[in-house]
Amino acid sequence: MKTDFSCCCSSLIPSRDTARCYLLFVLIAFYMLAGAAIFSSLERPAELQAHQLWEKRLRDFGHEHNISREDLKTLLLHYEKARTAGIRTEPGRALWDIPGAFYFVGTVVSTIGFGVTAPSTVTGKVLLVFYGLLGCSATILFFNLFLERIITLLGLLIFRCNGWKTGYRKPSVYQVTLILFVAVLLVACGAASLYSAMEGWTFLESLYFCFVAFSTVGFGDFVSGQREHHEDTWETNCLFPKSLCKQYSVAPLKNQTKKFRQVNELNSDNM
Amino acid sequence: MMPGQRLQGCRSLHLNEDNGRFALLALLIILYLLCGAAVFSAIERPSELRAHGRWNGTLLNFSETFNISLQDLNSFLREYEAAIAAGIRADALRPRWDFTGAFYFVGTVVSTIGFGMTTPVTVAGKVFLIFYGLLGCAATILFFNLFLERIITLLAVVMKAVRERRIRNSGLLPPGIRHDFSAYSLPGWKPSVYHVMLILGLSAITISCCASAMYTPVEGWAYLDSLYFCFVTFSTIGFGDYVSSQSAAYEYQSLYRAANFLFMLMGVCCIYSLFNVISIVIKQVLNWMLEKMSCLFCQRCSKASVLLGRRNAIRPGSKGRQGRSGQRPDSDGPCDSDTEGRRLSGEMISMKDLAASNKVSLAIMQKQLSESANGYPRTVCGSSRHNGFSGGVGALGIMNNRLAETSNSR
Repeated sequence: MKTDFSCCCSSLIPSRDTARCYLLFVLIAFYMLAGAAIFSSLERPAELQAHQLWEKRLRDFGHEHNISREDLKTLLLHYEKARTAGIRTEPGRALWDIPGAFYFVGTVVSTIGFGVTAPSTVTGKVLLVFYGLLGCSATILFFNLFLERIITLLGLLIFRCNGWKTGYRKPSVYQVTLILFVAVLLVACGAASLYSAMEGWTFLESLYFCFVAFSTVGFGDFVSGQREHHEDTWETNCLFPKSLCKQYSVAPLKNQTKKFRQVNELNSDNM
Repeated sequence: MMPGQRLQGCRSLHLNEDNGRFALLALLIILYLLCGAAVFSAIERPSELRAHGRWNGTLLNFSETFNISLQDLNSFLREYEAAIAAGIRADALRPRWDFTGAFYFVGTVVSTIGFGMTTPVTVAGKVFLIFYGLLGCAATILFFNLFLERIITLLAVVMKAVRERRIRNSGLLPPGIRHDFSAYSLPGWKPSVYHVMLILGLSAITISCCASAMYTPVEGWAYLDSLYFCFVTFSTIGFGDYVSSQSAAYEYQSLYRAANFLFMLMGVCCIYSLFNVISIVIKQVLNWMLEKMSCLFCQRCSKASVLLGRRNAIRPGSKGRQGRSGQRPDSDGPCDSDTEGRRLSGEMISMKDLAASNKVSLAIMQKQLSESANGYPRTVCGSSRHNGFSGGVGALGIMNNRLAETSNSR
């Protein structure tokens, strides 16, 4: 595992594994800086415009109904507080009935965490910490085992496709990545068409939601299954675990590809 | 690599061990979710109903005081909802999409925390996010996994040093042999997963408490709320009900932002490692459950396997092995049953081991002889019950030796 350079100043030269860690950190930092610049340029104009429009609307509403700025602000603050309890202008489904609570714990253990439902009582918050510790660990194990099973299965399939020509060969990471990628795309497109039909989003918004949910980022700007009447809630929610597994598997495989390139950069002799 | 080993004597159960473990885990998680749903529902539902009642009251009150129809009020609030989606709040907040705001956003994306306080509204932003996130999240998951490996290695080194010191102090070895000893001692010793879990847990608690001590005065949250925020953030759940560093201005703003970033980085790394270590314990529990269940279903219960406490050990002559090319399968550790059996029967270093090791010093032989003489527990192969790390830890550990590019032999 650890290959230390055995020279007198070995404390100064990091091992290859540690150096790889530092290098990756630096690369990610640059990636984030570049991403920040790009997103800023894409979204800042829209933000400024939204601020201007809202200011105007606030002023107009205040004049129209003869309400002072402070009173309006108080109402809006109350509304924001109500939002954290899950209240919206559109009547939505109940948040903490059993199906709603099931959706909530699902977003907790998978670490998606949309935030539409979040505990507001002290007991709920304390319970969440302990519940999450065990639940998230078990789900991480589940995703890791799924990854292992998928690699095994794909290895067998590839072996069979080669017609039992040579002995059993372990699958290449590139093959597995490609197959998983295609599978994720298929699931995402299928899910997106379902969501765009059921939730009234555009297809692009549904794809965006699929990515945000399956990667467990889970912003919460789009959340499925929140409207009041939903016949196909169970179907939509069953897609989740499958796609999550697939997404969660793709990432570590991409890691391996990255890792190889890094190892090559750092003068690898064997892996 | 084999697709899985059959539990000895269990031919009626067509599930092999790996698939069985996977299915059992899925079942247990679903049960856990159902129980959690019931408990959370019981705790939170009354509070939700009360909040609805309070809000309706506020709305009616406002409507009557200022003589506005409820419809007008609701349509106004709907517009406010759209504004909230664009990041506007009643209290002035920091800009969402200036450079530092965008950096915070990008951080929540690649770490997969995803608070949601800033989200792209333009189509170009959303499309770019998908591609950006694919690469960024993968790289960050790799970073966390590498950190996990590094931390486990570091802890192993530290714990090994502590152990050596204790052994040396208890006078088993002449003090002259110091340098040699540390270089070659305890081959194959790995730290107990429970010790590592304890250490990581304590670190997580320490980091959370320190971070909460910072957030409470600066953000004005209660200390418990800050702790809750720390857990939700570091586990990358990221609800978004509490988000740090959102106000327009702070005292010592740059310092606070830097501290915020550092705490989040350390916290996520620590809790991610903790989750992975706990998952090793869960895996061992699953193995134990599978053994109990297989004993229940199959009358012929392999007494040997119960005694040795083997986890995923390769059994000699198992059926699946026939007809394959002679590679050594490697599911949960480099121990094979031969070595294990011999060690437990109390045999000293076998000639094979002696020939295999490049440099055998007298000290090692002395040490192992004295160990077995004093009845020290074997920590190399026999106690796989306590040694959860032999199979590698985390996603990278799972993939080690399973893909063509990650194994020494194909």
